[in-house]
Amino acid sequence: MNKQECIEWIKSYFEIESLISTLKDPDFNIKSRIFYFKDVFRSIDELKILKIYSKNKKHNIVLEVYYVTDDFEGLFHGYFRIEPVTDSARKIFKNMSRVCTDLGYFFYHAYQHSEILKKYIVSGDIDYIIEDDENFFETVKKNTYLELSQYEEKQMNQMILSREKFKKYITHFIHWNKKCSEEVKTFLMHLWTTSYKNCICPINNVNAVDYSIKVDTQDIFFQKNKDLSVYGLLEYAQTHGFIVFLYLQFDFEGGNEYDSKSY
Amino acid sequence: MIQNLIKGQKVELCKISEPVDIFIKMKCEISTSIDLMLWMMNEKNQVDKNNIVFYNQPYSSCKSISYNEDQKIIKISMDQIDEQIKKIVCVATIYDEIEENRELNFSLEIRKNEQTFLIDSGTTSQEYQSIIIGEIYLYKNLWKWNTISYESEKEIVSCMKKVYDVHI
Repeated sequence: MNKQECIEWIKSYFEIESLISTLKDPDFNIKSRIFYFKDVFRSIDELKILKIYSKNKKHNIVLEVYYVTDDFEGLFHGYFRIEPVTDSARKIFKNMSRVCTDLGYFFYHAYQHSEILKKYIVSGDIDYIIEDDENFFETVKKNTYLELSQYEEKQMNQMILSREKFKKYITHFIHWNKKCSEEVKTFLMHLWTTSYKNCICPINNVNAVDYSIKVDTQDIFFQKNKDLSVYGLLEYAQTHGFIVFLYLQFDFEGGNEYDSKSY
Repeated sequence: MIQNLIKGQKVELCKISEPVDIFIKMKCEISTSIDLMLWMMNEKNQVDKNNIVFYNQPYSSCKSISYNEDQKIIKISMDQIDEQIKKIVCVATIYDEIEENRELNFSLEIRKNEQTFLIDSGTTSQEYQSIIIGEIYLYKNLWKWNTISYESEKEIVSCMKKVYDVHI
């Protein structure tokens, strides 16, 4: 299913409603940059602008969409923060990014990563049991520390990059590499705009730590298990206070007109 | 012995395959803003992305070059450089989160045994993004250093494409 087909399915199950008078007839293809470039929005840090809810009221799937005024050259000009309000919404949109610049992409991404949403779209039924993956995240935590314990302090120091320079690393990643996929852009936005960046530690040796997230321009995955949800892992890491290692893979195929890569 | 180098000045470093280590050290007042980077090229100015040494890739694929990010020191074991490599370009990339236009002064020290070459440079944080400081290049059977001091308002990948027409 491509993005537009997915949006058509979403439209058949969900309603979208504007919460502000200046936004008439919103749709699922709305982009955050249209707000950023309007002066009236730039003076507000964050504003609740949309409510999205299931057409079937019994399912009680409700999301609120906030517009956030912020920018990161080459990555975003304003963005949306999506807050699942009800339990069923939280279940469906668990383990995925809650930020985006394109609402349509948010739902397409959700469709690709949420088994429950896929089943909901196909069946129109919400009663599915959610797999408990917390035990696996705990195993990741233990094995990460076990893997690190094989290195001496000097080796560790050479391998670990400064967390304080994370914005510089992302900036270089965007400017020096070819254009990022929507998936990668969403992930970088997610890292930068949430407190998850506090539980991330960048490393410069991709082969040294198997229990790490690898990011290239097209993909993001946890090296030890490509099926693991990186968003779920970060959420777990933040809640349980452990560090997730992250490697940014540079391809140096960017340059020239990086400004045109702004989203 | 310390010798100051100016733009365009060339000096001999060593003979090819001479078992000597060259150390390149950057000294900078604001260390978070400037990063060192080496681009290793073959005779057609082609660059393997694994042979761009910087904070995120501290070793060249042939292991002849290593970079210590904390100390901003690059060590080059000249006799271990891959024979395909004919030129090593030394650049500085400038990144400043602070919106103000700040003066950034730095010097590059190239050391071989007891001999030291010094290049002083200064720029402003918002004016330029990249500086090609110089290049180590192969001339007949000698590795030589050429001081370039080329400043660019573009980021480093664009800058390298413009100046060297590099192909990754």
